Amino acid sequence: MLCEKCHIRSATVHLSNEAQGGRQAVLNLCVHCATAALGEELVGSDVARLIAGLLARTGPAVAPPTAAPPAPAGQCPACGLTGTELEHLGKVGCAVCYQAFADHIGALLPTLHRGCEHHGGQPGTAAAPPDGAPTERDALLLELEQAVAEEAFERAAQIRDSLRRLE
Amino acid sequence: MPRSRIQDQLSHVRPVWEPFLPDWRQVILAARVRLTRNLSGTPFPLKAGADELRHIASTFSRRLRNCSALRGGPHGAMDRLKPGERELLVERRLVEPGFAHGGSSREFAASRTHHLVVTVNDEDHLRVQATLPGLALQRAWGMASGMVTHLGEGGPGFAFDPRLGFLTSDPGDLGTGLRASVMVHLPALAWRGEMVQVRQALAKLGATVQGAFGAGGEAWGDLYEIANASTLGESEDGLIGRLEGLVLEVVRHERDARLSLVRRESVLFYDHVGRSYGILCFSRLLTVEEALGGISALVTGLRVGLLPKVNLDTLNRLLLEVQPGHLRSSVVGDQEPATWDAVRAQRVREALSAASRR
Repeated sequence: MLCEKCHIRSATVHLSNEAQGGRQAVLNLCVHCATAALGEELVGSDVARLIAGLLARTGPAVAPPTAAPPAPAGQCPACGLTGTELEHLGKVGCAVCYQAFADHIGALLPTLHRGCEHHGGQPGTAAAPPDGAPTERDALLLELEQAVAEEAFERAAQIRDSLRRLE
Repeated sequence: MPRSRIQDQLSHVRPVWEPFLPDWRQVILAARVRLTRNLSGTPFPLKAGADELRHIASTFSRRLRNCSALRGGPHGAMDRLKPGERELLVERRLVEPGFAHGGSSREFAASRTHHLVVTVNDEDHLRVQATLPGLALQRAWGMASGMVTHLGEGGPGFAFDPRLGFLTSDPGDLGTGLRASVMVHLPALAWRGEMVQVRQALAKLGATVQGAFGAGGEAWGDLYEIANASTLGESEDGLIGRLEGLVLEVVRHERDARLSLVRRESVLFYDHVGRSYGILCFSRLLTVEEALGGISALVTGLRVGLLPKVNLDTLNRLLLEVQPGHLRSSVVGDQEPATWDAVRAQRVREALSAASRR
């Protein structure tokens, strides 16, 4: 679902308001538009304590830029995605689109993410704990956990025997 | 109507999330990590041709069949599944609704216990999802990452840019391509009307909150998913650590709210539980929203010693059984009932009545 204000980013904040007639109206916004709409109005001492606790764990929020990104123009030379399609769908058609629409996407990134550069794992290197490919042993261990939790001890014993055979 | 292979494979496995436990402090039910990747040199599914999508599906399909961790689990091409089977996959949170009802050359494969699920040709070529009970985000990440590495071996590699990271169809998934989420039960915060403020607070700190079950912004059964909003600009470790911190703070807040309900608002709280029990025991028509809301209230009441005759195992089973796909697949015979809300109400009445006789 796209944000009902900017029609660019995904709507992930759903704000409820009492509409006329006492019915609840829901406004579906992206993080950026919701933050702009709400400002600093958060009420209730319990919520204030929650926010203080959240900030203590994570540090201050990263304020998104206020200017809207330039509208995407042109067309991707590789897949043919047009700027209009990108603006409407919010999705790209291939890797080359990120170069073809660099200005638009570059301006969009600060509104979507905490940073604009990748700090995570690289292809071909182990970014995660080096567990390797999940194996039959991993699957059996999960089944064993499930069987024990359900007190299906006969099945758990069979799985234990399967694990021993693997080892 | 005979049960299909998929129905059998799903029905004998309990859900990937942790069941409701008697412990009043339980808030977290499951942790999920989803990794998104696209193959290098091939258009993403939005712009890929039919032949390209078929080639991608058959390439991954071979690797999935040879993966020992997925042996014996449900798998197949989405367009060969019946609508009812797809509904079961969505309700068990194995695939997203958009993937279940989407286009051709879409494949999925899950492990026997459904903790690992791989989808091919969703909005991206490859998505790997690992779900574990509790707050096991690091372990889920390890499982998903290992599967991604395994599926990418010997191939053209994944679309990657040194500055932007792994390239995805949605710029919102760029960089790590990692979407971590935690399924939480927040009946006290929801009942006290604080969820709007919780959502706003988490939105300011880069997390999203959505209902785990329900359409649009609804959260049936007071079950929510808290997820990271950003996937670029920090490492996978940092992203997961930050989400864990936010979730633990929400957990603390929910527990405080539960204590407050019992200590300071007990009459209203017990009345809410009692009314929910009455609706579930005596209604003749029950929507999914009403059923899940009632289950949530009964679970919360059970934990503080109310409703001694209601069984938690029954409520855990009903959480899935009242959902439309599961309800339909459990009905014997080909005839469509006049209204499924009546079938649901009867199922719930019978389950609670049987549980109270034990």
